[in-house]
Amino acid sequence: MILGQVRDMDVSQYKELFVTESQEYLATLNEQLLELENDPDNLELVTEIFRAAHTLKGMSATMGYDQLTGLAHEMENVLDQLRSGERKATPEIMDMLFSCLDTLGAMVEDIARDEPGSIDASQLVSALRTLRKPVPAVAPEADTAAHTPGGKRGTEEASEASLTAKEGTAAQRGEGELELDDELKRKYGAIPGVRILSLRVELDDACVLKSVRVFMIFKKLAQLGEVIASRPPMKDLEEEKFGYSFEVMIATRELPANIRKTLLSISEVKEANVEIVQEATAKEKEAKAPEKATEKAPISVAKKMQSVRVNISRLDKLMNRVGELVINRTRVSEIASGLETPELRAALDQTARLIEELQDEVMKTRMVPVEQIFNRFPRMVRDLAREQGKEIDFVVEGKEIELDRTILDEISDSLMHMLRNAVDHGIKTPEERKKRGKPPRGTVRLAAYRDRNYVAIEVEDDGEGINCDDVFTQAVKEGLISEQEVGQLSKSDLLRIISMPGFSTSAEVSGVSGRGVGMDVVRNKTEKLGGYVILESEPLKGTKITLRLPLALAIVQALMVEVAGEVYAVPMGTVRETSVVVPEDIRTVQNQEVIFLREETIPLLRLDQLLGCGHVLNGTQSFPVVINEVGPKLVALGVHSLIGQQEIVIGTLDEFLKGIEGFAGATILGTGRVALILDVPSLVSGMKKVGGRRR
Amino acid sequence: MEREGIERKGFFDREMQMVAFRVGKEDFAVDVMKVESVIPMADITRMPRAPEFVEGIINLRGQIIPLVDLAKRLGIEPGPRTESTRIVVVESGGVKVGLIVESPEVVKVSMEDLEASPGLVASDVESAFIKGIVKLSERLLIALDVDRILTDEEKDGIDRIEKG
Repeated sequence: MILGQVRDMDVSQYKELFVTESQEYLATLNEQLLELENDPDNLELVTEIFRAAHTLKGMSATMGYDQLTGLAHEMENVLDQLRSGERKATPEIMDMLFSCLDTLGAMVEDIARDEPGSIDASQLVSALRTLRKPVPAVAPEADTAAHTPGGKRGTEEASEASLTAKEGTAAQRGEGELELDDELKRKYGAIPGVRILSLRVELDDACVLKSVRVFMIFKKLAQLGEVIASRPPMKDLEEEKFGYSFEVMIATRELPANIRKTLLSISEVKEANVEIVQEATAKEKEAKAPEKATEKAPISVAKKMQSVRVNISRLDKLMNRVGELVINRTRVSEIASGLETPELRAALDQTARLIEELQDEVMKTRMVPVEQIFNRFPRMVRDLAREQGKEIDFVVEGKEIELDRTILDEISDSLMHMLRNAVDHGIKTPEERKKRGKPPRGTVRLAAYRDRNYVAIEVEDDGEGINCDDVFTQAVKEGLISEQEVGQLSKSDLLRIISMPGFSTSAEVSGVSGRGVGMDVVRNKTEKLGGYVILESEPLKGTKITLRLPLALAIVQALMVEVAGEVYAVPMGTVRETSVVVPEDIRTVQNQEVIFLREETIPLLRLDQLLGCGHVLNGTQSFPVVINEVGPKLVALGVHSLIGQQEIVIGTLDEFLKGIEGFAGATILGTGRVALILDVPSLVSGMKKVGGRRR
Repeated sequence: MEREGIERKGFFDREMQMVAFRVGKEDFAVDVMKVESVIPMADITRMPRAPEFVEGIINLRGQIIPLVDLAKRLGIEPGPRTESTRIVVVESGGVKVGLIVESPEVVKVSMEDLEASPGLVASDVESAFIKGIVKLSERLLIALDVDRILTDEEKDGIDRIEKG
């Protein structure tokens, strides 16, 4: 009669849905708990959290995941105490609630992997119970508390008992009245805002899989409240031992009309009659909460209906098709320009516009707000800080900025590394900070913003900063660079040294150990995506690491250049400007050709030589150069001629050619010919040594 | 391995189709099941830093694929490019690749004409690429193991070039 019994039904087909939905709920809970930590007296927030936990419990119960249900229930009880003002949201309670959330998350993961039950939550559960005990419970709360796994059995027995009397032959046939004994009535009646409803659900005569419908109905009901009893009993419902109608009794905060609407939204439910068995007792401030609940529920349903989950590979395919369309458009336009037919021209213009819009729309479907990954971090920073006894204000800015889904997925780990570094090594403990004359609370800032065709994501801390000399010494110690090299290094080489594979991975305790952990990964990932990393650090003031990432992977603005008869595309992301170089202006410094542009010394790389097409740019002729920004450095690429700027679709090179460094891919030109897209950072990585620095 | 293709087909109908072509002075054949299409010579874009036998990359109906100069790959003397030079697009180890060949045609090969032993061939072609010999009435075809054209050693080769 109680929901736990549904477990015998085949729930596997709903598992996936359950997993996704509960993960969504857990994410919301996480966010709300973080908010609550900063605003412990926000009762409205507590109510929301309570509701989310309750829904989660209901869902788990329907699916028969007892462990989840039990823990969610304990959590709900603690939340209930917060809600009633019996307890304050102290850091200890918050810690407990967070660990509940983590355990619940792990349990859901287990379910997703089909290995439920591997997690032992008994300690947590008993901790939660002890937490609750010392406070003398008021009558209604004590009753709700009876719903613990142990206590639940009590309820089960109670409701079972309440029905035994009636459970005669008539009951088995699904006839007769479903009645509740006074004890249960009192019990639920004591909870403010909860009413008891009796539902009579009639299924369509044509319904074949009655048990599935029953299951769905119970699942929905569990989200709306707590099912107290059913007639015929649950077991018979599962085994389809009923005609086409059955009765359910439910304790809920929802309005009867809402329940009816929800039931009728389930397919093959012909009719649903809702009767109020016991009206809710509205008490003081609590009266407001249920009102809000009824308001909110339909909105969230509507919200869900407006979006569709699409596999990312489908979007990739769609994007590729649109890319081909763009290429073909250019091609058709080129053919048309040779013909003197104004009608064709006009029609083509129209088509071009449409294709452009289509391209835009497809790009947008791939864009997701950075919020999707940013949301994981407040919790991570909080936990790390608490673990290490640090006080940190974590500021997140620009959550709404959108980025291509693939890029976002790829940088998630990088951001984690950067934030970890900031907390582990950047910010010191309050005492140490005070010694340095800083406020005891440190600040870590995670910000995203648009910067031309790029999205910049910054992680900044007001911590220790990085001492260049320490880093260089360490690098020498680790044999990454020689002593002589150190003399030539400056601050702008910091990133390069820190992101050297192997730097500071040693366990040696020094002022800089750990600073570079993962920085090589961060840098590689970012550059692979067509972006780059900027590191700024001031000893004792703080560190700022910026990732500059392209908005979207598939289509970029590029400067087309010609070298030895071949066309190459230079993504505009790194292009700063173009210029023309006269041979007399070229100087050689440390075996590296350089040019001077305004106040800057810029290393010159002749693309023909770099790409192995001979030495065509020699002689006395002047030639154009494309000045690129690679990280903080500038590099001038010498080319034969500049063709112009255009939008290109990045095509990937297959596995066989992917390993070749220097190219970000290839694109198909309007003529149908293929042009390689230069990956400037990796192309010039061979000349790291003599970097052109801004003066 | 890939001989399966030949054997399985042969098992059922004792006859298979192959695409025969010429490279330099030698005649070759590849299992028709491995051939995706045969196209005229295309506009080739040079691929710097690629292994020497990679002629470049081409646009195959919107897909960018590498083009291999078979003569260079097999280590035989190349013939001149003529009007009948074609690109045979094959799948080699999961990767689509174009092969530059002369006068491709489809031939029917009876299983009896197929010999697995490469030892019999007096040829400059490296035996690693040879899958067998096809004896037709007036000519001898070397059956190529398409999957080995872009082998792992080659991929390693690319890595080496990259680092060097």
